[in-house]
Amino acid sequence: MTLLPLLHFNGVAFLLTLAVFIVLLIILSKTAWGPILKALDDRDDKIRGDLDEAEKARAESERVLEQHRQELAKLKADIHKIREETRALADQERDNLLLAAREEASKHIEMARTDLERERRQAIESLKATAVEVGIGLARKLLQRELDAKSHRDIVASSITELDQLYSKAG
Amino acid sequence: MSSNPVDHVKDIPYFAISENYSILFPKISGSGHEASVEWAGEPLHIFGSPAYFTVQTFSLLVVSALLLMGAIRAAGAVRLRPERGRGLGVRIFESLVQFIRDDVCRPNLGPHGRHYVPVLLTFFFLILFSNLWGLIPLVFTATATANINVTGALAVTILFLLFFLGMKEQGVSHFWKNLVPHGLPLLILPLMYPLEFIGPFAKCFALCIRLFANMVAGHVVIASLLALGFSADGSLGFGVVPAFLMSVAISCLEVFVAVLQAYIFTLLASIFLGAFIHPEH
Repeated sequence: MTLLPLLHFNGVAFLLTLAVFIVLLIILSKTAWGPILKALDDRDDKIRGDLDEAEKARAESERVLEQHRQELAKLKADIHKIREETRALADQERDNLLLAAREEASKHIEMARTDLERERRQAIESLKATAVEVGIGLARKLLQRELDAKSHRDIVASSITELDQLYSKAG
Repeated sequence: MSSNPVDHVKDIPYFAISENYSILFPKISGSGHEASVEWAGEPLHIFGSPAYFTVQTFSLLVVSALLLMGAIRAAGAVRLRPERGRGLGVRIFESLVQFIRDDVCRPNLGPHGRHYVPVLLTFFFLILFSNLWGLIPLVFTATATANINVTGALAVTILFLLFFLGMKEQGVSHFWKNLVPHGLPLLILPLMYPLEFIGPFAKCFALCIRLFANMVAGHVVIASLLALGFSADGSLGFGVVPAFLMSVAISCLEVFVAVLQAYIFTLLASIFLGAFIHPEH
């Protein structure tokens, strides 16, 4: 047979395996296992370092977030306060303006009323004068005589008094 | 084609070296069952047995060369930031290295066992590559680990490492003192010493036989299933299709077994080594 028995001791295979193993161990330790294991260790260290860093960064960010939250709450309170104050101020200002406007308006009304009164007086005065003229004319025409100056004035005065009474009754 | 599936895993001599160190080639006469081989001279005997350079020996060299190239290439591609330029092979290689380091060496050898990771890596990858190489269905791809001389040499290496590293780590006197458990009655010691001394030999013998038998068995099963496709007169029969499908299925299983056996060999080696380096465990 060309085949060797399964349990045939073959010195070449045995010694060659020993040699191959030793050679592989020596060469691969230097060229392959060393660099690969070192790279794996480095990567492990890097990952561990990164995780620590991330943990630290997370704690830091949580702290900052909490700080910001507090600041935000404080700002909100401040804003609320300022708004309230502003509103009170605005209310007051509005009331003041309203009051001033009202005063202004009433002053204007008062002035208008005074003017009106004066106009009325003037109108009455002028009416009085016109009435005297008319009355005198009328009397002259009725009596067809010329009164002396004194009696003239008396008649006019009495007429005015009568007219005053008449107007005061009317007005 | 031999009708015996076991022949499939038997080693075939390529050449031998004669007693006066000249290369001898076999002269094969006849074919099939009648084939016989004659050597032009007497092959060199090592430990009383004729030594041949064989197919499986050749496979061992090929596999070693492949491992050497693959591992060096992988080492060149492993980077701290591995985003670019890393192929699937390198990633698998890297993961296996990490697996052996973290899940085989670290629990069994402890943090001090870091120095021995390269040894176990060499065992693991040499066995893994040999097992897988034998599964490639080509004429020149034999399974080196289906040769008891190869597995025996690996086991002898481990036996040597057990004693050598055990004595190196513990010191010679501590090593021999710790060989047996502490606190035994003196009367039992003469019984325990031979038993504990045989222990590592038995363990390594088991390692050798386990790997060898697993590899042989897998290939015998595949060869048997393939043989089912042939009729009694050697022509292809109707059974060739199911025989082929079944052998493909078993081949897939064998890929798993190839990885598993490499893992088991390495795991057991690290457990034995751990026990000899740290006797308290």
